[in-house]
Amino acid sequence: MKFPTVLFLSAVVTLVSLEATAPAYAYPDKPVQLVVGFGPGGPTGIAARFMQKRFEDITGQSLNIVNKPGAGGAKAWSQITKDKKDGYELTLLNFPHTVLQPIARGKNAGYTYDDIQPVLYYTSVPQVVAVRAESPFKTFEDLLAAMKASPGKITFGGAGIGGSNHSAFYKFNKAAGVTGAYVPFKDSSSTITALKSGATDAVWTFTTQGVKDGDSIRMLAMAADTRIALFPELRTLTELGYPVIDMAWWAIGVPPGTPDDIRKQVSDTFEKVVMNPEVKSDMEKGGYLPLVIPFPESITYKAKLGDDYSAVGKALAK
Amino acid sequence: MSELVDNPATRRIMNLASGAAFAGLGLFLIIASQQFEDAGRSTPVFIGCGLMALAVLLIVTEIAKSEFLPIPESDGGSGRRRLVFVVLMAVWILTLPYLGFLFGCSLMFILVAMAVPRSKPWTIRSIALHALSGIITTIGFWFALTYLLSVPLPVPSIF
Amino acid sequence: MEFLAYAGAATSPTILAIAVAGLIIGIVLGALPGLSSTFSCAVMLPVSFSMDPTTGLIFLGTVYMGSTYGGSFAAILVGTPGTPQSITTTFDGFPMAKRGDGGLALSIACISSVFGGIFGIIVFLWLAPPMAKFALLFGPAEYFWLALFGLTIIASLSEGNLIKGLVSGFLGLALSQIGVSVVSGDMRFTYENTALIGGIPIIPATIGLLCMPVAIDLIANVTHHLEAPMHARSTRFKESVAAIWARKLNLLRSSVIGTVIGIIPAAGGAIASLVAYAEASRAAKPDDRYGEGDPGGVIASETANNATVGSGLIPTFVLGIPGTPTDAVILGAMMVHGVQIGPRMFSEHIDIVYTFVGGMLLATVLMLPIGLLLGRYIYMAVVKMPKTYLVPMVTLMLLIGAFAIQNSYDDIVIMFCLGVLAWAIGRFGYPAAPVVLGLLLGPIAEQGYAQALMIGRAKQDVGGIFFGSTVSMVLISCIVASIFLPPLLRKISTLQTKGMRNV
Repeated sequence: MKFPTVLFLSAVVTLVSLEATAPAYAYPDKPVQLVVGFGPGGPTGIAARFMQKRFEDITGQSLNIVNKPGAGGAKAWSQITKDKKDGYELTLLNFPHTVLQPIARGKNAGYTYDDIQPVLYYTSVPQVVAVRAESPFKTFEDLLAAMKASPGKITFGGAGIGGSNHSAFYKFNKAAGVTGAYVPFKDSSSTITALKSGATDAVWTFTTQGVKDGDSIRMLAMAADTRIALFPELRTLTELGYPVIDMAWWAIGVPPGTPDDIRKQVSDTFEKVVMNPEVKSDMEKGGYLPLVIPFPESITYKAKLGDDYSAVGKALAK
Repeated sequence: MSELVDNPATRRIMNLASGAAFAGLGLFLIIASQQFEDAGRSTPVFIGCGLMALAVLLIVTEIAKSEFLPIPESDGGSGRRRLVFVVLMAVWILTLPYLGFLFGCSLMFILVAMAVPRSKPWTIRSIALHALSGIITTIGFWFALTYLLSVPLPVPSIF
Repeated sequence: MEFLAYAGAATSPTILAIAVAGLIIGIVLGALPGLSSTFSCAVMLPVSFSMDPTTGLIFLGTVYMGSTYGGSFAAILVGTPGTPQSITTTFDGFPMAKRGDGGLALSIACISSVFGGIFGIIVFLWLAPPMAKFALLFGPAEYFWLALFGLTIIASLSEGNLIKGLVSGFLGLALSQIGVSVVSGDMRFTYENTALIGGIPIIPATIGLLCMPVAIDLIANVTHHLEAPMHARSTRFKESVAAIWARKLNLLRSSVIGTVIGIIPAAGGAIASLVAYAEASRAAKPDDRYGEGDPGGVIASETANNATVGSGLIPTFVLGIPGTPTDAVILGAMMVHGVQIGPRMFSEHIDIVYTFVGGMLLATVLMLPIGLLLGRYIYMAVVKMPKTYLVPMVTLMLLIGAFAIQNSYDDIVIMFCLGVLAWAIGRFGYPAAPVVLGLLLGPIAEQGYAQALMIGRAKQDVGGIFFGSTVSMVLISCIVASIFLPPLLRKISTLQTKGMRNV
C-alpha cells in the first residue's frame, strides 16, 4: 500500500483502539464541581464533604463543593439547566424535596422535575421522630398517647414547609389518626436547637442528627421498615403498626441533555468513591445508609420516587 | 448637584417625593401580600403598614417643620463622573458572561481607571502602565481564585 | 492542670506554623470584601483534610479568628466591610482613615481584636458547660425579641434622622421578604426570577449597599482617597494603647457583649458588633464623635466580633449547636474528621479540646504582631496608591466578592442594583446601613414571631410563649430602654446645662 494510506489507516486504528481502551477513569481530567443546595454544616453538606475528602486520592482530581443555600435547595436546583453538560458541573439532588417543591410551588419553583437527572443515588437517610433527653416522653407510646389525649397540642419541629420532615409528620399523623402542630424551621440545625431549648415538644428529623447529637436527643421511632445496625434499639414505625416509610435520598445529578456516555462516566466515578471503604465507613458512622443506584437504573428510581411522592406533595401544597 | 440640597424648596420636593415613593412601596406590599397564606402574609403586611405610617410621618413633618429632615450635602464632585462610573460598571457586569473574567476585567480595569479624575493628563505611558497593572491584577486574582480557592470564574462565551 | 499539658502540645513547630498560616490566610481572605469567615472556613476545609483532626481544627479556628480581624482592613481603609462582622467598624474606622488616622484605627482594631479574641476563648475554656445552658434559653420568642432589639439599634444609628433611618430599616425588612417564606412555604415577590429564589443574599447585598456608594463617591473627586498620615511609617502603637486604655470600660463591655451574643446560637459576629457598637455610642460622653471617627467605635466593633469566635464554640462543642454561622462549618469539619461531636466532646475528647484551645490562644496572641505588621504595610500601600489604580481595584474586588461565595453571576447583578439604590436613597437623605440591618434581622424576627405564634396557638397560651421567659422580659426591657433612654438622657442633660447656667 502507499505510505499516506498506511498512515491514515494506522491513525484510524489508533483512534479506535484509544476509544475502546479508554480507561473508565480518564474522566475526570480536571477538577469536578459539585453544587450543594444547602449550607456547609447540614446533613446534605456533610455527605458531600465525606466524598470530597477522599475524592482526590481515588480519582486524581479534586472535588470542589460550592454551597448555594436558599429556598430549601431550590436556589441550586434552579441553576441546573445553566450548567455545562460535560460532566464537570454536577449538582447534589435531594429527594423527595425535588419532587415536592415543583408540585407545591409551581412556576415559582424555578425548576421542574424533568430538570432533575440523577446519575447515582448514593445514600439514603431515614427520618425519625425524636424528643430531647429531658423530655417526659420516654417511649414512642408515651408520645402517641399524649397526641391522642391532647389533639393538636403536641408541637413538632421540622425543616421547612413541604419538605421531608413535613411529609413524614403528615404521613404518620394520617396513618395513626392523630393530629399535632407542625412548626417549620429554617433548616435541620435550627430545628434541633429549638428542640433542645424546649420550644418544641418533638421533631421529625434524620438519623444523621441522632448521630450528631448522641445522648442529648432520644429517637423514638424511625420511618422505615427494617431496623438499622447503627441504632439497633430504634424501632421502626412499621413494626409498631404504622407502615410509614419516609426517607431522604441523595443523588449526584447532571444537567438535562447530558449525553449518556458522560452520565455513565460520572456514575461510575462517584460509585467508586462512595464504595471506597473509608468513605463508606465515614458515611455509615455518620448515620447515612448505604444505597447505590447507578445510571441508568437511577432514572427509573427517580420516576418511582416521583410517583410515590406526588400524592403527598399535592396534599401538603393545599 | 451640590447646590441642590441647600435650597429649601428643592429639599422639600425631595423629601415629599421620597416620602410618597415609600408610601407607595408600603401600599404595594400590603396589596401584593393578599395572595399569600395567613402565615406568610402577616409580615409583609406589617412592613407595608410600617412603611406607610413612617412615610406619612415624614411628609407631615416635612410640611410642618422642615429642619427635622436634613438632606446631607454631597461632598461635591462631579455628578457626570459618577454617572460614567455607574454606566461603566453596568457595562462591566453585562459583558462579563461574554468576555469572561480575564478579558472582561482587564479591559474594564483600564476603562474605569481612565474615568477617574486626575491632575496630571493621561499620557500613552500612563495608560499603558495602568492597563498592565490591570492585567496583572486580574491574572493574580484569577490565579488565587481558581487554584487556591477553587472558585470557577466566568469564561468567555463568545470565543 | 491537665490543660497546660495538652495545650503545650500546641506549641509544637508544625502546629504553630499551621496556626500562623491559618491566621494569615484568614486575615487576607477576611480583608477582601465579600469573603466572609464562613466562606473562608468552607474553602479551607479541604486543605484541613490532609491534617490530623486536632491540627485541622486549629487551622480552621485560626482562619476564623484571622478573617474576623481581617475584615477591619477593608472597613477602615476603603469603607467597605471585609466581612459582615466588620460592618460597624466602617462607621468610625473609615472616617478616621479619611482624616489621616488610618494607622491608628488599624492598630486599635488589631489590639481590640486580640483582646476580644482572647477573652472569648478564655470564657470558653473556663465557663463552657454552665454557659452552654444559656444558649438553650433561646427559643423562637426570644429570637423575635432579640431581632427587634437589633432593629431598635437603627434608632441609635440615625441620630438626627430617626424617621429616615427607620424607613431605611423597613426597606431592608421589605427586601428580606423576597424568596421562600420559611413559615408558610409561599414564594414571595420573586416573580419567577430564579436569581431571587433564595432571597436577597446577604453578602452581595452588604457589598452593594455599603460599598458601592463609597466607590461611586471615590470617583467623583480628584482629592486623594485618604489623607496621608503625619508620621509615615509608625503604627502609632503607643497612641493606640493609650486610646484603648482611656476607653477600657468600652473594651470590657464590648468583650462581654460579644461573648454573650456569640453563645446565642446562630447570632454571630455581625449582631454582636452591632449591639456592642450601639451600646458604646449610647454610653458616649458629649465630646465623643461616634459616627465621625471615634476610636471607641472601632474598639467596640472589633472587640465584640472577635469575642464571638471563642464563645461561639461553647454551644458548638458542648451542645453540638453552632453558635455562629461559621461554627456550622467547624461542626461539619469535625464530623468529616471523625471527631465525635456533641456533649461527649468534653468528656471523651478533652485532649482535643485543650490542644485546640491552646493553639487558638497562641495564635490570637501572635495576631498582634502579625496584624500590626500587615496593617502597616497595607496602610502605606493604600494611602500612596493613586486613585486611578485604587478605584478600578476596589471595583474589581467588589465584583469578585459578590461572585465568589456562591459562584453566582446573579449575585453580582444584585450587588450592583442594590448599590445604585443605596446611592440614590443616600442622596435623598436615607442612610444605607439600616437597610442591611433590616435585611439581616428581618428573617430572624419573622421566623421567631411566626414560630412562637404557632407554638402558642397549639398550647393555647400565646401570651405565655411571648412574655413568659426571663430572657424575653430582659430583652423587652432592653428594647424599651433603647427607645426611651436616649431622649430621656438628653432631656436630663439639657436640664442640667440649663441648671448650671442659672447658677
